[in-house]
Amino acid sequence: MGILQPGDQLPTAREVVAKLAINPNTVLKAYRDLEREGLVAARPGQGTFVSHGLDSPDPATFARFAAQLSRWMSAAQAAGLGPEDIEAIYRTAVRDRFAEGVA
Amino acid sequence: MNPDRDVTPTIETFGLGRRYGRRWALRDCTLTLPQGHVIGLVGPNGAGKTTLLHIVAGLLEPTTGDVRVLGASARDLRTLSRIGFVAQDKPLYPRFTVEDMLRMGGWLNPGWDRASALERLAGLDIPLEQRCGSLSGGQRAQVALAIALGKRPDLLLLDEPVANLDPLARRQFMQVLLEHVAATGMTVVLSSHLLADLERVWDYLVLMSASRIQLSAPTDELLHEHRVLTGPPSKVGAIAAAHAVVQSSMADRQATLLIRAGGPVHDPDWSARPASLEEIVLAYMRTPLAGAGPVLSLVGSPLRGSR
Amino acid sequence: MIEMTWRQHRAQLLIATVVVAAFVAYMLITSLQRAAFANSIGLSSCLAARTRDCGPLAEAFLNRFGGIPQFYTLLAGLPLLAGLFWGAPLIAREVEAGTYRLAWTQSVGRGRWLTVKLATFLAAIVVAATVLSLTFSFWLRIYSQISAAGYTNIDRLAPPAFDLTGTAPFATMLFAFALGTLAGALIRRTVPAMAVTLGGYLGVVLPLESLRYTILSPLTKSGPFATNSIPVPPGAYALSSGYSTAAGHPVPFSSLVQVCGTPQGAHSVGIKLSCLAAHGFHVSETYQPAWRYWPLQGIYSASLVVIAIVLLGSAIWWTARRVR
Repeated sequence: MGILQPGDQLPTAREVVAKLAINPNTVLKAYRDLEREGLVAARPGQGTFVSHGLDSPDPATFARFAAQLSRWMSAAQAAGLGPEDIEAIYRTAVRDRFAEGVA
Repeated sequence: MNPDRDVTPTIETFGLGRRYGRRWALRDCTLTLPQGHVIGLVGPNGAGKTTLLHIVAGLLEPTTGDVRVLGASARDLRTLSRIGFVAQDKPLYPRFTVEDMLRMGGWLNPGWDRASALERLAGLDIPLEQRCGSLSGGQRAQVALAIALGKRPDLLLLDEPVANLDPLARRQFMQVLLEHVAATGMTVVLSSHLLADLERVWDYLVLMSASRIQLSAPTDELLHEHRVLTGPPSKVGAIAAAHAVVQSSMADRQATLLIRAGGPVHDPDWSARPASLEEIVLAYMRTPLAGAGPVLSLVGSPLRGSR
Repeated sequence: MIEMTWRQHRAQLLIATVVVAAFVAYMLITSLQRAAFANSIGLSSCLAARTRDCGPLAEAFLNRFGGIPQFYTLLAGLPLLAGLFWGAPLIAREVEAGTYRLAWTQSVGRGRWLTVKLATFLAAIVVAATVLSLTFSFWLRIYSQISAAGYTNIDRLAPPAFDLTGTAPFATMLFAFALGTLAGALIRRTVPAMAVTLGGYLGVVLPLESLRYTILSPLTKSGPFATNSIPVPPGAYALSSGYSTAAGHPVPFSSLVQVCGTPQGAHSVGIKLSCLAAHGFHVSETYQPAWRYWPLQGIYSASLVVIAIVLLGSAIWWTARRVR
């Protein structure tokens, strides 16, 4: 279905159902859950929209970490690690870090 | 879906039974089904699903018991105008064209929505001048559905609508049906002896086996309540004392139980996982609670919360 | 529902229209043939004038065309078709094909569904029967005129004319239709329902063929054999004959043959009227007179119509109130 940016309108339950052939109550329940978690907001008469609730990092923070990563990669390369090794280290780290959060 | 919705049960049966000669096609059927759901009526062939649907549609009179449809008698003319029925094999008049069938809908039903039916059929590339006798299975199903939906019913009954359809036709049929449900909040009762493809369509399940109701509950509740436990055969008794064991299978070192949990399972010797809808249905179908009466709705049981 | 009835049954109704039209055309053509001939030989004017003996002219006409052709006895069976092809399939077809699950779950309800269909066919029966009756009566006119003058006994009181004139076509058609409808409602399969309709129709109508003439006591007329005519009044329908001696003792037909029979060829015996007259034999005819036509039509038709109403009422009750 693509990626939604803050401010985008979610497809109506009817559209989702028409495309996926699933129970409309399931879709409505999912939308209610999203609304409860603050990720979307329903505007009466208009539809449901993605909130501006997700914190997006500011450009300065972004640049700071990008520079840190670049220095780390230079050091790894100097130690003899190739692109595949670096990617493997990265993937493992992401997986371990973000998998912990799921109950 | 709509909090202001009328809370009259869509279908209520009280000890419903139907006998043909000496054989009971339906027995001790007591159900209360809510509006605003897509209700699955599951069971093997000969379980009594068609009989139940025919009684609700006013085509058959019960031998015993009573049925209320949308709060009124099933044989009432007013009720008849509020329900739609797509019978097994989707009966149509073979010499009528698709256009004739749509006109028929208008002649026989007040408040007929011709425009939507036309739009829907046009979107499916079903030619209006084609005779119903020469339509493909999928097209017949769509035409039969269009006629039922044209009435704008509050309750739609479908008897094995997708059993003989190829996967694409099945998918298209469900898309059309569910889009209409999403748009109007119509209640649907859909019978099937197949489980696959329909699990994500139903949000309420009625399981029939051996002419009786074995189960009647929202699918949410069923999935919350049921677990598959694997563990030592020696401890099966303890489990059976605290929970309802629906099905058990014993190997040498391991017992596998499908239970309806009466509370949380604390014993670390048992590993628990959620049961799939298919496992639940198969378990109840294999061990019908004949004579024990129907399993009443599982709403309000003690085990709640996340899995 | 009327549009639905027409759409569903238009083929049946159109076929019936064509069939009836064909029969009407045939009857009109043959009737005009007869009228033209009767005019050309002067029979019509002779009968109208009523002054002289038209016997020879009548005989010439009858030699040319004969009486009512056998074919019309078949035509008298036409009403049965209303039962077989309109009545029997009406409900049976719907149940057999499973389309009752579609038709009877529409908002119109099965009671109205059935009554509108019955009313439509009823109207068709009225039209078809009236057309047939009027056309055949028209066809029969020349024969009625000849019978009124006493030169023959071909008239509307005798079968098959009795079945094809007056209210009889309507009554028999309605009866057949009602029987077919109820059979279809109870049996729920078209072909067996048709068989039952056929059996039931023949089982009722065939015995009535003769019984209906005895509902009102027939009259009797007796007298000596004259030399050239039978003493039955014009337009009457002779039911049976009895023979006796001049003194009044009944004698069987075989005695007449014994006394006055002269062999004619290997298999038949001729009896000369002059011989019978000479021996003083008497004949007594039992008959229904011409003026009993409408009373008999009325009783016959009313009986069949009453039965038909009961059958149709039962079919409606069975279909609308009871459930499969």
